[in-house]
Amino acid sequence: MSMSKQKIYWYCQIAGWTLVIIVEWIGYWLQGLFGEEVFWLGIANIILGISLTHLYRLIIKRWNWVKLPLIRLVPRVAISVIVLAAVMSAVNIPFDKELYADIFVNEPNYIFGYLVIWGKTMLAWVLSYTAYHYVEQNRNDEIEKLLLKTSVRETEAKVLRSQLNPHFVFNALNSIRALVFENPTKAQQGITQLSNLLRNSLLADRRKTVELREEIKTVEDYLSLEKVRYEDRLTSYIDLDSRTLFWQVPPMMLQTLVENAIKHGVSKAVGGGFIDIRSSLESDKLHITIRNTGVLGDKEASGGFGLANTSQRLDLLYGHEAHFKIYQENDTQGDGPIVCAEITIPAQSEGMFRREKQPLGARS
Amino acid sequence: MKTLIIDDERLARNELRRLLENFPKIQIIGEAANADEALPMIEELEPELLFLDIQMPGKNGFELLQSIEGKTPEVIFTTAYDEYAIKAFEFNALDYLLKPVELSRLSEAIHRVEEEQHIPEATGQAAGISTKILGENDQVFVKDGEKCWFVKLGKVRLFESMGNYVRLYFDDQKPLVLKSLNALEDRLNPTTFFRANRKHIINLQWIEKIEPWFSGGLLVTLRGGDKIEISRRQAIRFKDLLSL
Repeated sequence: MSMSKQKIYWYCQIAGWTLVIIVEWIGYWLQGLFGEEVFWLGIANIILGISLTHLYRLIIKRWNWVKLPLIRLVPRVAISVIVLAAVMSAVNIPFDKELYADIFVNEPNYIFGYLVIWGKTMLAWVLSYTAYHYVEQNRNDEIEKLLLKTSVRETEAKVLRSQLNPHFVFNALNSIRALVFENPTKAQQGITQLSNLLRNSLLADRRKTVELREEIKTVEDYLSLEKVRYEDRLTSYIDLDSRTLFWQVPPMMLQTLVENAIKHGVSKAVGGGFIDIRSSLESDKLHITIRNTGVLGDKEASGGFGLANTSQRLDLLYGHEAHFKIYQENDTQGDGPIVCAEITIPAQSEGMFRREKQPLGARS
Repeated sequence: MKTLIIDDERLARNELRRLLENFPKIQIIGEAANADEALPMIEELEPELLFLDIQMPGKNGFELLQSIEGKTPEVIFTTAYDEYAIKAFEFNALDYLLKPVELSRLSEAIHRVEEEQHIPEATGQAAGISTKILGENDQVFVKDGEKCWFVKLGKVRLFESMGNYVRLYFDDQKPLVLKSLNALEDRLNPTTFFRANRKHIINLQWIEKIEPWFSGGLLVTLRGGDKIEISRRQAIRFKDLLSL
């Protein structure tokens, strides 16, 4: 709690209790009963009231009552009010008995009356204090949630933006620069391919899904640029089931996986390597397999941004119907270690349409 | 200047070769596509300058430098875009070029190397007993976690054994390298670097004060304030070495 809040608290305490007692004094005065004893008893009540409620506040803070659900909070507050009222009554009754012995004779249920009077005052205090904090706590939680949400969205956006690895872009530009002398035609091709790739990665933010053949075109551009760099160190095969060509897939997802495969797999193999991309239809779902030379399990690759991102995106778009897994293949043919990634994507699900209709900001 | 180009991409090597044609002083004596090819070439051809790519299959550029046995040539790193590597350079004045390489930047880097080369040339040759022995004018590549340095051994005032590692003390830096103090002692020029005791090798040029110490030992204070004890056995050798 900040310093100014602390101050406000004490002002309210003193002003509130003084006001309550002044009202009481006026009552006594109207009845012609106001005197020195009444004044000092009032002062004592102000001090007692402040101390008791302050104690209650310490208890609330110590056990963090404002964090409790309403059902558990209400009985605690009720019992506190009764206890507080009982203490006030227990202190006041003996003094009042001494001062106005004659009045007490006419009031047989005076204990109950005292409890009700002090109970009302205490209830007012406790309610206003607890309610204030309850509301404030909830508002803080709300703010925290909002902050969290914005940061999550920012990360998501960052992920999307970072999909085309800058290391690749600059290396490609360097290779193309060398080609300008060596093979101008190839250099021209390279520039076209790189611009296609950049365009697609920029558009990826705006489109939810693209047809598989478009995505494969991106991958092909990417692979031919990498081949300029790696030359005979990179071999690639693409084999697609014609029924899958128009299937909708998330943009740049396949591309990210292929890029990962090159970056963490093929580029690390001194003797070079291969990448093999296949698609098929299995029980009405699109199945894509990417196999490549490489060793899984170096922490960069398996814990990497790309893979976590892939899982997350599939989950967001298709829920449990989509699957993604990546594993080290058993080395049976003896052509070195191979990593295999598999994606299963259902036809557009209801979840996707629902999401599509919502404006971007309203996702909650 | 005898120069070796190390990059895993043929096109990148060609591009650099073409750019280097503008510098008649640079004489390219070879190309290597990875560390395994480069290491024997460095050993045999003794290049004075390396153009070294950081990301390569097998050993990367840093690891290559760390496995050079003899004295390390001057190095200009080349990298396309690698946040991790670029961060490593921020700690030290190691020079690096971003690919695609700009001719003016390349020219700057080469000039800087030439300036560096002139200073040790005057005194360096006399001290060099063999290429395997490192003298004060030789530089070593040191990498500790994310930071890396190219440090002239003359600037290192103290080597301290820490288990399997050795801690180097120079300027206000204290990096750890995975090496035993004994292995290091074998490679350091004994006229400059002295084994003070089981745990320390000191640079004799950095000694500020010598005091007699318990049971025939000596206490040496180095510039910078480090106090190192010379054991009794070594104290005899120390006196031999320093007296006429």
